[in-house]
Amino acid sequence: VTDAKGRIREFIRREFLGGRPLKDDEPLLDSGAIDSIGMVRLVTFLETEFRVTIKNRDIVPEAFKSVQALAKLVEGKKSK
Amino acid sequence: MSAPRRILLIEANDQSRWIGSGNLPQVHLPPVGLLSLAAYLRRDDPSREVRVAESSLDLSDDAAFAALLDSFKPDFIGIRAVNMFLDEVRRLADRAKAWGGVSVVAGGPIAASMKGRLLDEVPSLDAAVKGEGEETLAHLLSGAPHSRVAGLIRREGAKAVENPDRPLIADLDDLPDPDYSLVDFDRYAGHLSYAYNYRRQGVMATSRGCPFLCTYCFTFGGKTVRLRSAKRVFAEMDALWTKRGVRDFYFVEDIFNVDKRRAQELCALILAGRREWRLYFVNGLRADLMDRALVNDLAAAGAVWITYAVETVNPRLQKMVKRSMNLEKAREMINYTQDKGLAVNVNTMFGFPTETAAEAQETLDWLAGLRRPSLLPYHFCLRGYEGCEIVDQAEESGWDRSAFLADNTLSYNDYPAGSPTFSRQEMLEHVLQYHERFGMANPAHLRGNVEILRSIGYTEKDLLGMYSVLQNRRLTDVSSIFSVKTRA
Repeated sequence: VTDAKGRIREFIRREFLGGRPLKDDEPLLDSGAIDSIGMVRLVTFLETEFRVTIKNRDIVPEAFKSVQALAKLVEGKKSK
Repeated sequence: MSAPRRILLIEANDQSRWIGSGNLPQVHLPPVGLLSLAAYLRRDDPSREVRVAESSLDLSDDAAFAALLDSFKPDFIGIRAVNMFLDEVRRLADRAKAWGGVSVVAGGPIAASMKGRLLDEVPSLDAAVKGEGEETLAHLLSGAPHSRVAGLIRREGAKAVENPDRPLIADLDDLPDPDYSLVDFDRYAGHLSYAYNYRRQGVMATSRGCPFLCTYCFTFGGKTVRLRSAKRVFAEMDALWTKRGVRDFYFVEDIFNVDKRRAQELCALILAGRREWRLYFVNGLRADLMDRALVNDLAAAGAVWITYAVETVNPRLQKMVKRSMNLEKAREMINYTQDKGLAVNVNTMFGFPTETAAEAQETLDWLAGLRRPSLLPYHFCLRGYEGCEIVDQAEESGWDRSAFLADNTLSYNDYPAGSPTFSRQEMLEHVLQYHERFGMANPAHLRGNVEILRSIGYTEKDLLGMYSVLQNRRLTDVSSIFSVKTRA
C-alpha cells in the first residue's frame, strides 16, 4: 500500500496540484483540483500503472476521496 | 380490479446517477410526459384525482415518499423511467408495496425496452405499459381485467405475459395539453434546465416517432412520425407565456425538423405574434435535413440553441448502423448555424460494434473541420438497449450480449468498458483526446463558449451552474471555468 500511495500521490501532485505537497488523507474531490476530465486521467493512470480495471461501480466519492482511499482501492483490486 | 380514483404518477430518476454529483447544481425538467398523461386521464374521467412527482426532486428519500403516500393516499401509482433508473424504479415500487393497498405499474422507455424482464427484475410491480401510456392506462384504470388491456405486460402466476400491442395514437392534436397546474414553475426555475440555465421552462414535445432506422436508437414513439400541428404547438406555448410567464422553450422530441413545412409554420406564427421567446432545440436535429432558409426562420423566431446529431462519420459504420447522412451538407449547415451566432452542439458517438480506434479517430478529425467545436462536450459512448438491432450486431461482432446490455443502466458519460475491437485504454485515451481538442480540457474553446453563451443571455449564475455540472466541481467565479489542468 505504501508504494501505491507514493506513486498515486506523485501523479496527483504533478498533474493536478502544480507540485505542491499532498497529505495522504487530504480530501481530493472537495477542492475542485480534479475535475471530470481529471478523473478520466486519474482512472487511466491507475489502470496502466497498476494493471487493474476500475469499473464504473468503483468510481464513487468514497473510493476517490484521498490518496489513502485510492491506494486501498488499487490494492484491493490487485489482491483479487 | 376496482377503478382507482387517486392516481400518483412519478418520474423516476436519480440525479447522482444521471449527471453531476449530489453536491452540485442539478438538472430538473418539468415531467411533461406525465403532465400530458395526467391531463388525458382527467379528461377521460374528471372524478380522478391526479398528482405528479419527480423522484429525485420530491421523493429523494424514503421518508419523503412515505409522507406523500400518507397524505395523498393513492390507490394507483404509475412510475415512468428510462433504463438508467431501474434501481430507482425498484426502490419506489418496493416502498409503495410496503406501504400497502396500491397498484404499481411502470411505463415509459424502460418498460418498452425491457418488457417482461422488467417485471422479473422488479417483483413489486404489478404490471407494465409497453408503449404510449394514455389509452392503455385509461383502459386499465377503468377496472378492466389485466388480460384484456392491450399494451399491458402483466403477471400470470410466476410468468410475465405480454398482451398485444395497442395501436399508436394517430392524431396527436386529439390529446389535451399537459396539465401544467400540477407543477411549480418557480421551483423548476431554481434548477438547471436541459440547456443548463435557470429559467421558467417550457418543455415541448411536439411530435412522436422517428422515420429513421438507426440500429442503436430506441425509438419509443415508433417509426411512424406523428406531429402536433404548428397551431396547437403555438397555442400551448402562448398559454405557457401568458398564464405562467414562460419565455424559454426547450424542444425535446426525436427530430424537430423532420417536417420542414411545419417547423417554418411554427416560426411564422411566433414571428407574427411578435413573441420574444428563446427556443432551445436540445435533442438532435438532422443537420442534413436543414437548409439555410429553415436556420434563418428558426433564428428569427428566437432559436438560440441548436443540437445536431452526427454520431459517426465513418462510411462503413454509418452503413452498418443504417444512418446514412450527407456529411458535406451536415458540415455546411452546422457552420452556417454557428455563423448565425447560435449556440450549436454537435453530438457524436464512439464504441460501435466492430469500430476500431482509427475509425473513431475519423469522427474527431471531422469535428476539427467545423468552424467551431460543439458547445456541449457530448461525445458519447454507445449503449445498447433491448429491442434495438445494435444488440444483435454487437453479439455478432464478438461482444458478450449480457455484458453489452448490462452497460445500459450506465449514463452516456460513464466510463467506457471497451469492445473486442477498441480496447478500454484506447477508449479512455480517445475521450481525453476529444476533450483536449474540443471539450473540457481546452481553455481557448471554453472561453469561446462562454462568449457565445453570454451573447444568448446566459448570466453569471447560469454559467457557473452549467460548468459546475460539466466539470463536476463547484465553481465560484467564471474565470475558474478556464482553469483546467491539461496534460504535459
